[in-house]
Amino acid sequence: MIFQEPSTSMNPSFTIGSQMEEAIRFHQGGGTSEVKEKALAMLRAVKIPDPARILSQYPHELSGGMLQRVMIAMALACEPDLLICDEPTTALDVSTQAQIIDLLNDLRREKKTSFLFITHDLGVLSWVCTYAAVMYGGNIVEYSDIRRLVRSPKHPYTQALMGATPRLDCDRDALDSIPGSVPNLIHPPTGCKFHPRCDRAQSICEKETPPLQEKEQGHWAACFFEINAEAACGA
Amino acid sequence: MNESHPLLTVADLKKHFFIKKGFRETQVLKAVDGVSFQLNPGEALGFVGESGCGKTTLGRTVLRLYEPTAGVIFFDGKDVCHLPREGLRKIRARMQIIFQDPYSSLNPRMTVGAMLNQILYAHGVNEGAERARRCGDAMEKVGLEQAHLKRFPHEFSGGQRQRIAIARALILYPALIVADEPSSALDMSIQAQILNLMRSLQKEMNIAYMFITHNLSAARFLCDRIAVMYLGKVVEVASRTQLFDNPCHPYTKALLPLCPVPDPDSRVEQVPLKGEVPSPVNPPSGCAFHPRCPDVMDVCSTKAPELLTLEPGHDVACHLYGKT
Repeated sequence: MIFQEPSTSMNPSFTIGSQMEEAIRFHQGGGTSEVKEKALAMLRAVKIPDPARILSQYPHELSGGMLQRVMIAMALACEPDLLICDEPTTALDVSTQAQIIDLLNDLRREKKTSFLFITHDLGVLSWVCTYAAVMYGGNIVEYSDIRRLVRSPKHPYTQALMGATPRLDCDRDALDSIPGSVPNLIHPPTGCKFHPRCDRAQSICEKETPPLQEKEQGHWAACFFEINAEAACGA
Repeated sequence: MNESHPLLTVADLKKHFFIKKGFRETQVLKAVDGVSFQLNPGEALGFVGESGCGKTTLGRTVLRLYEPTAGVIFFDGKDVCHLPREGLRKIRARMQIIFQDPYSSLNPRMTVGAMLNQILYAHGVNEGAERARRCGDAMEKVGLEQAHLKRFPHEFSGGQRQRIAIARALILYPALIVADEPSSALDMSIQAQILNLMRSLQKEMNIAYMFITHNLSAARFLCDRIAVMYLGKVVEVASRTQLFDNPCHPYTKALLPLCPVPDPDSRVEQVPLKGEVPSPVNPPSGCAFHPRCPDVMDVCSTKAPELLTLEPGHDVACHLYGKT
């Protein structure tokens, strides 16, 4: 598991080395020198310069990007098959973010680790993932490979999200904002949870919950209507 | 737009912080180091850059929330740096700020109405009926209701709070609003609402924005001109189209492709920008960007480049475009 904010997910009063070694010793065992060797190798794998020095430093001495690398190294130390990343780049700058994305992609190719990548940033998502699921109000409303999801979204919520994203690759006159805000999940709306904010909503949406249907091969969406809109760039 | 009378002129503005280190030693942190720009009425100028490049400090120094170390600020023809208290108060009615985090910038123990009333009262709107009218007016402008005036900040969502913060900035009819990352703490759909709102208010009330952000996409949406900052200096200023179609500074060139676009085919394989922003306490000699620059030359490590005009409205600070 990789958490959202690297600076708060490490214990500030232990060195990077002792925290990493503890994780390795706990899960894999081994002698002191063996564990230390392993920690060094992991730091090298995430391309940290001067890993030996980093091991003896405390979390506050490292920058956000470095700490996130340490977090990734720690998560990878036990050679997991699945790595859950909860917004791993949200707290980072764009240049650091790009470096972390690169690193994750390399790891995926080399170590064949699977990623479950949680994010709100459609841009980051489309640079990292092969498949994506869009969630709304506790349900998956659309699932597809990433290319089809961003090019021809089939659920009105995904479409609205795409329309609300300011884009670097084109000029826009106005962003399509989604009216209202995310529903209260203690008293969720009846039927399709998105219907109060949906511009296509009809009476059926209020009464019944749409099932997740396969609209095209491998492209699932939970909506009563057939929607074929190209998410085209405004320019 | 009237080019001859800019609303805000900032020349060679510096803000240095002094950090005590140890017993006698003091270190100088040059947060803003020689920034000059002009802002016309009704124009939105974006300041983008990575964290620690001095964007926020710049915004606050322009309002004189921080005392500038050196340089001049002219707002509406008045020298902001040397105004006495009372004069500063008058001028601040026309320059307002929206803070980054709407959760911590509103007083939790005051109703929205009390907050807005207090501002009007402080700026000499003494008539109760007039105050009530302007409060209602401001709320309406940001898309909230009169009834919301009686509520406390905790009763609102993040987007609504940011609307309140905008209403608070609007209520004195300012000519300039410094918006410090107004949308970065918000959800995507809410961010779109806030950006749309800021844009329509700009047109409606002819407000000039200093829009401080690290989100280049948001800057592209809202701003007419964009200044790219690196370690306390502006490295490139250009109109929106010039900057995105023809970035000139190596830093801008490196930064633009790093912003994720929702399109899997747009990803760059090799990240050109290695390492991190150096500490402003010990900035590299010469051009601050030279240790990370792909086009570095000998002169870059010794001499800091000046801001040169490449074409009208497009300035860049890089030796690549020197007098050769």
